[in-house]
Amino acid sequence: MSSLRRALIALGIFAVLLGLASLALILGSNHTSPKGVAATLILIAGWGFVGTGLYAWYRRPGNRTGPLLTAVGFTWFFQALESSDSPAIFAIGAIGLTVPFAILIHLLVAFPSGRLERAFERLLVAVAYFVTIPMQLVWVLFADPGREGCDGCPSNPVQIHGHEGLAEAISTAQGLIAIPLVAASIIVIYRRWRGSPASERRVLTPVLATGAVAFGLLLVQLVLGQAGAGNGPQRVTFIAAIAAFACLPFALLIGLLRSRIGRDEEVRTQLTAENEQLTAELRAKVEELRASRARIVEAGYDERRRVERDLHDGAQQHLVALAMSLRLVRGRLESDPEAAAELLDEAMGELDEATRELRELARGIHPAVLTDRGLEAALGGLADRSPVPVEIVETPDGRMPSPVESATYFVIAEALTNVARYAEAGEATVRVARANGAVEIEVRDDGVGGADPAAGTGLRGLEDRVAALEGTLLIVSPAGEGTTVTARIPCA
Amino acid sequence: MRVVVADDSTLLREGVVRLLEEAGLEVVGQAADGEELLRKVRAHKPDVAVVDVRMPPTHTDEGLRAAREIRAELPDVSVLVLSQYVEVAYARELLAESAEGLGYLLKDRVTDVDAFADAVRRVAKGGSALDPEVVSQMLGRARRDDPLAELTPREREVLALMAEGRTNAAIAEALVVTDRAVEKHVTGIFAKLDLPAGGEDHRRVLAVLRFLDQPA
Repeated sequence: MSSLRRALIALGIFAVLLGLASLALILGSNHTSPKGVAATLILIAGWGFVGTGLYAWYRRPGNRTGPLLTAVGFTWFFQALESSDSPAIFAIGAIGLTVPFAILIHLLVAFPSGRLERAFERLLVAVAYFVTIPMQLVWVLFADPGREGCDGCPSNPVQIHGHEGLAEAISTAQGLIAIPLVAASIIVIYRRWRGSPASERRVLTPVLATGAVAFGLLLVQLVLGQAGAGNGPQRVTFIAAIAAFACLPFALLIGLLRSRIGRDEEVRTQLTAENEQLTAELRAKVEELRASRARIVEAGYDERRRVERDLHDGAQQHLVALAMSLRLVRGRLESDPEAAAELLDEAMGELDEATRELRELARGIHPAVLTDRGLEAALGGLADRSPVPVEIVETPDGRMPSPVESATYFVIAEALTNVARYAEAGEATVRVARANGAVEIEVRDDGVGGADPAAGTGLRGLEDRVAALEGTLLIVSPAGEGTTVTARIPCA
Repeated sequence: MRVVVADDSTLLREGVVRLLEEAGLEVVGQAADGEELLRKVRAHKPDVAVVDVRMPPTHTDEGLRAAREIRAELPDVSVLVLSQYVEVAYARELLAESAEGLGYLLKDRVTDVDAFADAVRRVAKGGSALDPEVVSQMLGRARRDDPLAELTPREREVLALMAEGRTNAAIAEALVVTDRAVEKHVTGIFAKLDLPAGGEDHRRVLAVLRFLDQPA
């Protein structure tokens, strides 16, 4: 058990004993009436403040709200001392009577942080303590608190007689200072409430409202006192103010409870919202994946059709022509050797053409140099074959995983093909760099720009290819300012 | 003239052997992969090894690696690399230090028997042979401020043939002009491109290739 907890438990036990002693004093009093109301208000408020104070102290040892609440509770019991028939105890009660109100001002002005943030607030609290402690002490020295409106109250044993006028003046001064003090406290409390966000109001409203009502009633009582109103109304408003203060600890508990429930609700609302958003994102992603998968499959078929067409239109035609030439040669070998030789030359030409086309086709499917020598060599080949001057500004050292390398190569190949076809560019630059766990690709030209990414099926296919590697592809092509294709592919 | 032929495809290897033998060259050994090639070369010390780039076990660039090893171990043995594809990157790699006794040709060239045999002989004698496609790729590279723009069409032809590793006499024969005319073109080209003049043929090849291989 921590020492703080032990101390708090001891304080709690002390408060219980103090309450019981107070109860005994009130019940045994000759002058307190009605005893039931006084006992109830004192015990409920005293124990309430101490109980909530100790709990708050335990939960938030760094926040002064707990100690302040506890202090209000303990000083509250001074009121019970006034029920005593012993003059000395009665006098002590009279001295301490007003202290809890100063602490209450401190508590509410500093609520909920427990700190006095502004100079004005500090001034307010300092004045409150001044009015309730030194001034009250001096007043008790010259006054007889039980003199007015109290039958059977003991006389003041410490009173310095002959200065009733001074006592009167001090009392009036206390009242005159207390009125603006309490009014200012109400304003501070109201502004605190106004300035707090809705989420915090849930906790603040019960406490601040109760405090404001209690201070309001206290203010009325003070004004009545100054106005010289009768004892009856003063007493009623005072008891009402005390009752309101007695509710304060419970208002605090309600606030705490509301904040917890509120937080649960808020968390639930937030989770629901997040969940819905995630579901929507997931659905969009699934849809996107389905579409891109379909496009990849379609692109695969397109590629096969292209290869088939290239083979059929290219190499196959040349080989058929070659076969025909050879048949003709065979027929003329003996009859017309010269024509046969000519046909053979033709046949060899067809053969050369067929092998050249096969070679180009193979390179288009996958350049061997990329596998054998890597990106730099393969890009060099691309640049060599490009009709537009291409500067390879930067390529990464070392090899990358083969799918990344291939995607990088084909992005650049397609981009350079587009540069040659549409950009009317004077030159193009290629940059490939590894950074932050990814390979970053940039192909930039100084051509006419205005490329429509949606229009080019080639680039669309590349987008899918890059997306399949969790990468992104971006085409920026403002009219008249060239085109920049950038891609980023994760690559650890 | 003694030759070792390496190619993992029996069909193509036998074909090349037959062509070379018909052209009057002596094929002293055949190999189906890089290791066997090295063994045969060490054993026979041929004038030239004709090597396919792609061979087992990885089917990537065994031929190139074997060529480098042969050049390092037996500098007297020339190497002619044949490839299904030609890439400037490979040519650059192969001819990084020297073009002496080195060749790099597209495999298809074997069908032009005379030219092929000529290239094999040239390389065997310490000359060079670079595939016209590699040369045209280098020549055709799009450049800003292209220095080649100053050359006349005839000079470009001569430059291409020089890059392929042909001698002046061979260039003269190919273009049907006199040796003197070729020499005049060569001098003109070297002056226009600001290249160091003269030297043996394989040095000339290297100078021309380095010039052509400058980045765009």
